[in-house]
Amino acid sequence: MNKNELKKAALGGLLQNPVFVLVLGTCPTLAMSGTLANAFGLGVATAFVLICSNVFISLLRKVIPDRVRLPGYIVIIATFVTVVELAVAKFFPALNESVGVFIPLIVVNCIILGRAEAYAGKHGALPSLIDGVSMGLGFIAAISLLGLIRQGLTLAGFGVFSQSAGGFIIFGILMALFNLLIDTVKRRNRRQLFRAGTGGKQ
Amino acid sequence: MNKSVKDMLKAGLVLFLIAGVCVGLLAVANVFLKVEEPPPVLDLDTAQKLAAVCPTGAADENALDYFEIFDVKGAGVDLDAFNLDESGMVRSAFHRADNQTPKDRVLEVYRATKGENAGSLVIKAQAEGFEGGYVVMITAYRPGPVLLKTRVFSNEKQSFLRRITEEELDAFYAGKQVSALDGKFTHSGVSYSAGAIDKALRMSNTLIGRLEAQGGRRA
Repeated sequence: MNKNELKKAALGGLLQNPVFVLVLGTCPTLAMSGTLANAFGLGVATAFVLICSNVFISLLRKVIPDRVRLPGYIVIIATFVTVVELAVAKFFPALNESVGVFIPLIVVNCIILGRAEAYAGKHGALPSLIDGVSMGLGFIAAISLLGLIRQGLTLAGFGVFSQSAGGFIIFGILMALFNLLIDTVKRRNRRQLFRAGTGGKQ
Repeated sequence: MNKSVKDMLKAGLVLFLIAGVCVGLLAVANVFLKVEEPPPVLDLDTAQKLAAVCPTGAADENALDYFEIFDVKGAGVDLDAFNLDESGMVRSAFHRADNQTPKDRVLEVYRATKGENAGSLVIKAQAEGFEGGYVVMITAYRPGPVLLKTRVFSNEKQSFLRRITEEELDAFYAGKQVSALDGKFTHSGVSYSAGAIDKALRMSNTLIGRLEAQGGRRA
């Protein structure tokens, strides 16, 4: 694997942000971003499962026959989710109480199965680890930002933002801003490359 | 054997192996991450109710200082096994796995640590009554065992229970040697609730007998 691909995997969490660009895992994102603590807790739990399952699946990618890859992936993901569920119940009972059913539901989080299918099943352990860390951090950042803004607005007296409808509004605005920012950066980079290629002549 | 059968067998075997590895991983995780149930805590409200059947001679607000939760296991009796036996449920390996709890069961045992009746045990037991509801009884025993007093601790769906008076309970149970108690506690018009009281008391009487036999009061 060349440096370029590793760099691409490392930047995946930003350029291909699972929440704002790929629009995966929207259900838990909206449901658990009412407060920063819940959002961050679920983000870390999801990131852990994503990293572990990515590495495990990439290690087994040549062993798992194609026709049973999805059941195989689900078994692996469910195992790590159970480990996370046990750990959260033991060490963070308050988080376990508030996040509740969304921890077991990480099993069906599209981000994890999506990365397993699109990346870990086709790449080696190291790039898959990098992809998992990058996507995990991207998810934590996105859901925490959403949680921070929603909690702030709720505390400021706008109770609607603690509800799903308010969550959708913030989610939409953030998604638009994020994509606008990414597009602007990409366009500027392209222009600079073009200028460098033409020696600055139009 | 043709290729597709071979592929199918290989797929099944791989899935089986993956599942095996995952089970191993979860078994290890379960050892380190198992959540222990918090130990039961005696609260003032319960202690005051205990003092009603097992007088301490002190003011009600100090009742908490006079009782402790009794370690039944330490006294040589497995309460889960006892409850399964006494409730009449068929014991099997599946009970534990299914988390089945008998409706008729001893919930907790308390001991008076000081006061008028120091060393006495109080048993809290519940039994099913009217419409699947329950009656929870607390019963105090002096060494002997002698049944000191019994009272209703709480109930669910037993709307006629108030017809059974404390005097009636005292007349039937209070101050009697457990081995001398015979017959069923009955009450016309409140037969289900009275039956539940009788069942709860029978379980409590049996347990105190076993604890006495084990010399369990000192545990």
